[in-house]
Amino acid sequence: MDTAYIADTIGAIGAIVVGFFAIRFLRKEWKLKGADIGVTKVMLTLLVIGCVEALLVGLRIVGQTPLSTH
Amino acid sequence: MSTDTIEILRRADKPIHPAPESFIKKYIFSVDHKVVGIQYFIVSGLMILLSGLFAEAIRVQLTGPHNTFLTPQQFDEAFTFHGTLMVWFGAIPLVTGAFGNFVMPLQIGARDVAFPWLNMFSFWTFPPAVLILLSSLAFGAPNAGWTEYPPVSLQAGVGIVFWTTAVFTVGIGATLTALNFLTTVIKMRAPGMTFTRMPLFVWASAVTAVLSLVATTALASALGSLFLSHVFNVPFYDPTRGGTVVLFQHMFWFYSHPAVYILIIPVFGIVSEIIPTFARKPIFGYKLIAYSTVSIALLSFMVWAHHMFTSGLGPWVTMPFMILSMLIAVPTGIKIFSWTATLFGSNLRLTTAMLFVLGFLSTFTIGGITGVMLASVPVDWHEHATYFLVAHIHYVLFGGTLMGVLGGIYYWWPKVTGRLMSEKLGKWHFWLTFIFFNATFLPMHFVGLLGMPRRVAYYDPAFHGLNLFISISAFLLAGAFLLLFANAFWSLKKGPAAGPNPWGARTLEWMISSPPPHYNFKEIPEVYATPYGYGEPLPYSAPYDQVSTTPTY
Amino acid sequence: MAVQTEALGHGHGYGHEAMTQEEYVEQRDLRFLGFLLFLFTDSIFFTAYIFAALYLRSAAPVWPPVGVERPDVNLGAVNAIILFGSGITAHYAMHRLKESRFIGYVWFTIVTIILGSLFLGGQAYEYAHIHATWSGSTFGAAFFTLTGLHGFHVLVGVVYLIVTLLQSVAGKYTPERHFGLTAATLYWHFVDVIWVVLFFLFYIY
Ligand SMILES: [Cu+2]
Repeated sequence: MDTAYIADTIGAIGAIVVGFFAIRFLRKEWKLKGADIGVTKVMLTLLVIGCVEALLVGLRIVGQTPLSTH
Repeated sequence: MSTDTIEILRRADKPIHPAPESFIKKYIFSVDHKVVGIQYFIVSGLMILLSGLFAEAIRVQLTGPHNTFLTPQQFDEAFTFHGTLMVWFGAIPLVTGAFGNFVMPLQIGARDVAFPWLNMFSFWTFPPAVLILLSSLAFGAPNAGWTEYPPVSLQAGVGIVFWTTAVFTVGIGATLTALNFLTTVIKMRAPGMTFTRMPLFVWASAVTAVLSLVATTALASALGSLFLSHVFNVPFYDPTRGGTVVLFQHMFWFYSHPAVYILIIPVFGIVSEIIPTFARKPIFGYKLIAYSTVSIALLSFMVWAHHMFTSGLGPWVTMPFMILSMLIAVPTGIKIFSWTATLFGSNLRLTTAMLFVLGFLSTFTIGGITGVMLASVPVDWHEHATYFLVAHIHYVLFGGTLMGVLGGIYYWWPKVTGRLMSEKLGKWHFWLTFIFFNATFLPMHFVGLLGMPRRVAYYDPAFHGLNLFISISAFLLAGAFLLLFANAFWSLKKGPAAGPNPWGARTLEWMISSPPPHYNFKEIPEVYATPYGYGEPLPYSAPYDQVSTTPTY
Repeated sequence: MAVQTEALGHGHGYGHEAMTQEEYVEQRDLRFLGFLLFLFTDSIFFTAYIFAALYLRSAAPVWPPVGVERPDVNLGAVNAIILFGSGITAHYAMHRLKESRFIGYVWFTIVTIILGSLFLGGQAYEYAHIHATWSGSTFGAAFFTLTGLHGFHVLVGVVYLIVTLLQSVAGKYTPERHFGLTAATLYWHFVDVIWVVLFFLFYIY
């Protein structure tokens, strides 16, 4: 077990936990109306995307190429 | 959040802030939008004067092909400061900070802007920015032109650091003003004033605010990267470390093309107010004018690369930009034709303000046509960085923006000061300005087409005659402005009282006394229609429907 | 005939305590719109540099350039999750205050502040260990400029949260009146969301 594996594990589990709460909030706020709620919805949606990013990194699906050509 | 418009701030017993008591609160750190507007007017007016002096220095140098009035280094600094001062410190604060601040809240029937304190703060970013900019003259002044393209701008002394800081600071003020104006227009309009009942200057101010919010911030990032490149040696623009100078041109022009519209759209608004007032007719195509302003603003974010046709972009980039740039002529043409249609068959009253607007219509149209020429890639390859370009920009910015602003000054001066200006002096001012403006800038087209490059201190003796003519006209053009100062001083000292509505206009600012009291409207009027229904009763609730709209002057 | 204009009484538009709830709501709505416009214009600032980063990337034959390495993606993910998690706790804090559960609000805000500071510490660790410099390559230029700008925003956010916490302990915010808190929470969400984009740009893409 090197540090990368520990980091990956923490990252993946953290992503699931944070993503879970973000989705829960999103579901709660979905029916509410108002300008501030609308902005918060957008922010929380993007936060869920961020959690997906971190999860994919933790599962070693993306982010493992040190050098990319295009 | 619930309320869409404000209710309580409109109540008769609730002015947005109390009357100022001390001198400092009244005239220096004032939160009153009218005082802030006048402050902007004075400082940006001084900046335009200073910028004009730099321009005259350039013209003195160019009276002869190998003059020694300025060294090439000083010449470069002169045109750099001329452009910088005129764009960011003169014209933009004048059309937004001064006219927008004074006129817009009055026209929507508000007691002040949404955030009066922020408005004061915006203004007070301006004088420090001026000081920072001018202090760069002592530390290796920037000399790469107002665009400050790297790598040239990074090779000069530390002056570029001052320059970026100064423009950044004035940009913060501009952004906050835009934020403030947009909130004001959205939230603080008088009851009944729907978007399609707003005066056209308000439309223009709101659209300009949107442009400013996007573009000024983009400029701030370009300036930031230039600052970092100079101070921390960050390789954005250093090809030896993988950077590219074309990136700066993209970042800069993504701002600076919309900036051209930040300069001209408020003037479209001014013109749209003046024309119906003196034509005594409803404006032709109110909605067309309003919506064409919006479409110009949208298009303006898609055309920036027309400044970079000679920067080595491929044809697959330049062709779409060429087509989109030419497309802007359509909404602009809609405006020109709407204004002309308003004038058609009208009983036109040729006051000084109206004369300047007629001057605007003719010279701006010429500038617009040369703009379409320059938007064509092959023509631009030939004319880029020649005096043809200089002539084009001055037909648009002097013949357009400044001519319209002068009209606006003559139009709103009685409202701001409560006194009338001399029409006789004003007409002299107009004719001298109009004649010497064309005498100065029309021949620049010719020397440009013959191939005289801009931004060079020396030139081929073959161009001597025309350049001498241009320089003499430029001196006389500057001299014409003395008439404006004389007129202003005369009016402040001896001008006859203007009364609330000397021109017989119908927008809300003319329904109250001149100058307006600090709370503007004791009771907020209700609005029933657009203000341009000449010949109909005023569309306001009592007592504002009682004001006479017969011109007294 | 001009409309008669005479002096009005001295009614102050501002001053939190003197306001009725309706007046407060009106002021809050104005400020909320202004604050949204501020966030919008701030996002343009980031967008311009993101565009610059993509442009520099397209100008480079390989990315990151030879001899330069991306920051460690695994640690980066942990750090990102710390920041995203702080967004959730900030959200909780806001709700606790709305529900008049003041102690809960204080604790969640403290956790948010700690998580934000941890993120800044993680960034500092990353800066110390990355094989790239600000002036050495275009990757470094883009990375340090954008993450530095973001880090500055996080720092401002942490200070902002501390200030609102102190203010609320002093009794400034109530379940009915807490615009300063709404703004701080929104700003914190904004900082989070920017990192979603930057994390993708520098660690994954
Ligand atoms: Cu342009």
